[in-house]
Amino acid sequence: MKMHPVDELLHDHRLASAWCAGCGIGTVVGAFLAAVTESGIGSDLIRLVSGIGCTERAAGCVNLRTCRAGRQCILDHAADLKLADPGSHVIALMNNADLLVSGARDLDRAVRRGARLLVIHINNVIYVSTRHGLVANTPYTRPSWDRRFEIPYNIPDMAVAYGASYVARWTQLHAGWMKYSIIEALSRDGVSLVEVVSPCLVYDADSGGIGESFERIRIYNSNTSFMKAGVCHRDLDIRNTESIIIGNLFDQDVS
Amino acid sequence: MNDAARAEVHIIVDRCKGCAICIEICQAEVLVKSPEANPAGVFVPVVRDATACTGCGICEMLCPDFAIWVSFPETEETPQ
Repeated sequence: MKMHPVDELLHDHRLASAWCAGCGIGTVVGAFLAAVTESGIGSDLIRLVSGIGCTERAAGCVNLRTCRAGRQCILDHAADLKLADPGSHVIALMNNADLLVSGARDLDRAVRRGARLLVIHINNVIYVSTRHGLVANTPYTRPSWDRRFEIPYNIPDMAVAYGASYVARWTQLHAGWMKYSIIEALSRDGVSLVEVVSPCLVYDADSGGIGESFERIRIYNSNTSFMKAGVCHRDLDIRNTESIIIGNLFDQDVS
Repeated sequence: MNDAARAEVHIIVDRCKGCAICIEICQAEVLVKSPEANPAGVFVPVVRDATACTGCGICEMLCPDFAIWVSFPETEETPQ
């Protein structure tokens, strides 16, 4: 029987109930698995750490060495994993809740510890509406649980400020470029961050947002532009730009 | 015979959730939505014109459910 190219790295019986139809997390996981296949790194050397929420299910869907870290310790867990097994490639798959509620502190600590990690951040453009933590990464038209508005994070700028060695941003549409970014980031020392803008389908449907998954592909096509020379990292804010700036945003050898 | 004629599109009907991203993204308009639903109630894509496929593989890259991929049978049989 003919198989999908990444079927060997999948637990396909778990895919049916993992994500909504058209959710970008599946595309990101597909690009990640294709990158693992093409990079030549043995799949036994890959360690995938996932956090909470929908992105957490990626750890169960892939046939790699994975673990699920609870809230507030994903990057610490990943850095410890790297220290325990220096020959491995550790990838942390995170959403807004994982990276921005408490993960920003962990990102800072991981950079200062000199950990070699790849952070794939799926920017699902939602607040974490709990009273324990808010993620201000939502366009200002959408309130948090207390009906207030907050200024969204500029994630690439934040990562560069913390000292990440490689930062890239893509959308669900740009899966091919995303794959090559992941291959490139896997070869970098220090902490690399690949941000993927992929708003949550359910949250957007509730708020009358982008709508169907195939409609948002058109929006990604028309509302994105590639990084140009001279663009300041402060201009990478999704909120303030007419179009989302994508591409390899920052690349610096920290070794 | 050119690459376009050799590209072959495979669809796993059981995995598809009917998001229609592959139909939207295909520039050659190879895929259309099936008029009949599969047992899960999903209108899966079907190949309208296999010879129109350019083999770009973007449907394979974008599919979130790993339900579609493109292969080149002749090149698979005679590896370089």
